[in-house]
Amino acid sequence: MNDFLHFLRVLLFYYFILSGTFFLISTAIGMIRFPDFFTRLHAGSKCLVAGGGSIFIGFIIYEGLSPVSLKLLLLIAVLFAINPTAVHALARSAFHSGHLPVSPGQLSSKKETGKEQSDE
Amino acid sequence: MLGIIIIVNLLAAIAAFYRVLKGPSVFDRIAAVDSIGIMFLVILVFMSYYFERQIFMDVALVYGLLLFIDILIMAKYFGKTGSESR
Repeated sequence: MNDFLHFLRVLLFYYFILSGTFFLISTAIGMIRFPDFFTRLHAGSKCLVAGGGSIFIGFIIYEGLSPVSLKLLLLIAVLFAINPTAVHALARSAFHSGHLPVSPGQLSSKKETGKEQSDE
Repeated sequence: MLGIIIIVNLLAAIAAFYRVLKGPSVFDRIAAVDSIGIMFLVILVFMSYYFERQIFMDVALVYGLLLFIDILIMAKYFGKTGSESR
């Protein structure tokens, strides 16, 4: 019975770790492939918070109840509070200094971002 | 297994560094630096288990707070707030 619980704990640990790694890799791919600044911010806020939170939840399950897991819970709270705030400040500052979102028509004709997409 | 996952996360951070080198504007670079910082925060938590040192967890906590101040000050410095422009 105890062996089975330990096996279940390790299985959940690897499940959360691998899904968080998948989210971090999709953040990196989104940073490279998205055509616009605001879409890149979307990749850099949502996927990043999901990946980091998932990895920390996996470590909490692996650790059990201990001071280290309390520290990891504090790290999750910090991550969920600071990353959307920082990204919101960045998007507001960029929007007020002249960045506008690219409309779908511009995106298909590749007029605005043609130089950037041609060499990828 | 944990070492392989650390290396994969490191490769993701290196792939996001492409946007820092080749951003059209300065805000793309700041967004990419933000994502790289959080990836390295996750890598620090992985390394605290890989090397079995709990001090890396405290380093990750302080690193996250410093990253927040970093991104906020860069966003204030390079851009304009709402009251200045319109």
